[in-house]
Amino acid sequence: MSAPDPFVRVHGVTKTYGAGPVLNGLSLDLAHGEVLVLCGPSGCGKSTLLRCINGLETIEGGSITVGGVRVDGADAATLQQIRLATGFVFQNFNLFPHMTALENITIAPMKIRNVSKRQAEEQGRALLAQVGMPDKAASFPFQLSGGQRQRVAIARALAMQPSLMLFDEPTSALDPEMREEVLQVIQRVHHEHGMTMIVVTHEIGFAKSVASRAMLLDAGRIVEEAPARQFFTEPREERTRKFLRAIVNE
Amino acid sequence: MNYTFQFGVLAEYGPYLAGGLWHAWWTSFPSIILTTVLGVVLAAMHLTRSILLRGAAVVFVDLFRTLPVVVLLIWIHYVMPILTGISSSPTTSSIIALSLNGAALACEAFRGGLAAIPPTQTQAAQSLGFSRWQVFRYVTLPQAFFATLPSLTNVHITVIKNVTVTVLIAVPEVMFRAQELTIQFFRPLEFYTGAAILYVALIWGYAVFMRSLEKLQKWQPI
Ligand SMILES: Nc1ncnc2c1ncn2[C@@H]1O[C@H](COP(=O)(O)OP(=O)(O)OP(=O)(O)O)[C@@H](O)[C@H]1O
Ligand SMILES: [Mg+2]
Repeated sequence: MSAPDPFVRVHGVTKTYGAGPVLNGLSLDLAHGEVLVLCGPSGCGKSTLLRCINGLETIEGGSITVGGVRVDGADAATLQQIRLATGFVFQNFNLFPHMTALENITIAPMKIRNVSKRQAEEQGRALLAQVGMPDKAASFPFQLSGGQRQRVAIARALAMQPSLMLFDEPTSALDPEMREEVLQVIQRVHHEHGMTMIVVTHEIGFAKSVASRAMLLDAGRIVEEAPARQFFTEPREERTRKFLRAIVNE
Repeated sequence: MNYTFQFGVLAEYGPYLAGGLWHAWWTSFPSIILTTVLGVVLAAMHLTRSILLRGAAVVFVDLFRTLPVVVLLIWIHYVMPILTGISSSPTTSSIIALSLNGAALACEAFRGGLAAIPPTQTQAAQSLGFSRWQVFRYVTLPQAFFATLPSLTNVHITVIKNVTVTVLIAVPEVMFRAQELTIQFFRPLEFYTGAAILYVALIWGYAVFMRSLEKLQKWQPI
């Protein structure tokens, strides 16, 4: 019996911005329910990789499939289907500042899935409760703390019931006290929904407890890929050891 | 200076002069609405992937913001009927001319406001599955609206000021009536000062109204 097709397949992907390649023939496979932690120095292409998987960037070489659907070169309708099935959480939250927390969560289900306002709000309130902010429905993003904003952003992504979640440094713009609350929410989401996730983070504790695999990216290539625990405790590559020392000293 | 002020004539003919404001308003108000709606449409056309729509928007804006309003107005009122056989009332011709000119200006104002919205907003909306049109409609335009309000107010004020050129095709607004009364009574200072005061009052009132709209913004950018 052959292994089941991977849920996310990135195969030999090359992406260039002007000067040199940002992703350099990068390949990775992700099975259903897996949590992959992606590390790497600033500028190594982590965000670019996530954006490519979400079809927000065009690639020059290779291929990307999510749930068996080809992302690169997809037409607008296919791209929308892929994005509906994928939640994206950004480093800087990117909440819609002109909408309340609840509206941020309900707008996509209402306008894209044609869910009724009543139903969307019911679901929105449940999600706000799930991320620990049942009393903030009417607050605008400017009235929320960084940690709260990120939790709303996670709820907003969850409202579309994605089967894949992409987190791009979800806690690096937050004060240390707020990181924990966001990481706990992500952890809970994984446990409750068993969702497939790619998380760009340098939070080692979180990575060890949630991730199934971890990966170090440098200059658009994978330096090392290993089961999370092994990756963080006994990495094979000298480059990985150096990187881990650097983030521990941060 | 040997001019005897006789502001007394304004007591008698002031109401007639001020009645011109009614015409000024009913020429400028529809023009302001059309200016704004067309301006949004043109700004949206600039953002589409269709070269045809983008090109049309560029040509429209370049044409109507470079054409002097007087030339445009005379052309629409006197030349269009020759070409098409359809003639329109002075007020209708004025509304068309002022709206075409205003729309070109409003488009640029909206484009400025839209450019100020960080591209990450578009990315966030796209990642949720919004189409390009939905991103514009629900995410970027509502945010850009408030950022655009001050410059949009300037565009609207320009449109109202341009109403005075309709005197050329005899829309009976304030300037037209001031001219009419001056010819009749030889009191240019009184009537044109009256006209100035009336227009300042109209435009100032409008600006105050537009500023009050800014208070509708309950959110803050982050
Ligand atoms: N839109 C763009 N135009 C040009 N260059 C870009 C663009 N986006 C990213 N880059 C470049 O591509 C490289 C990789 O960027 P990317 O954002 O993927 O890095 P990253 O690993 O996420 O870094 P960080 O940890 O700082 O977020 C960087 O050198 C960056 O300058
Ligand atoms: Mg990044």
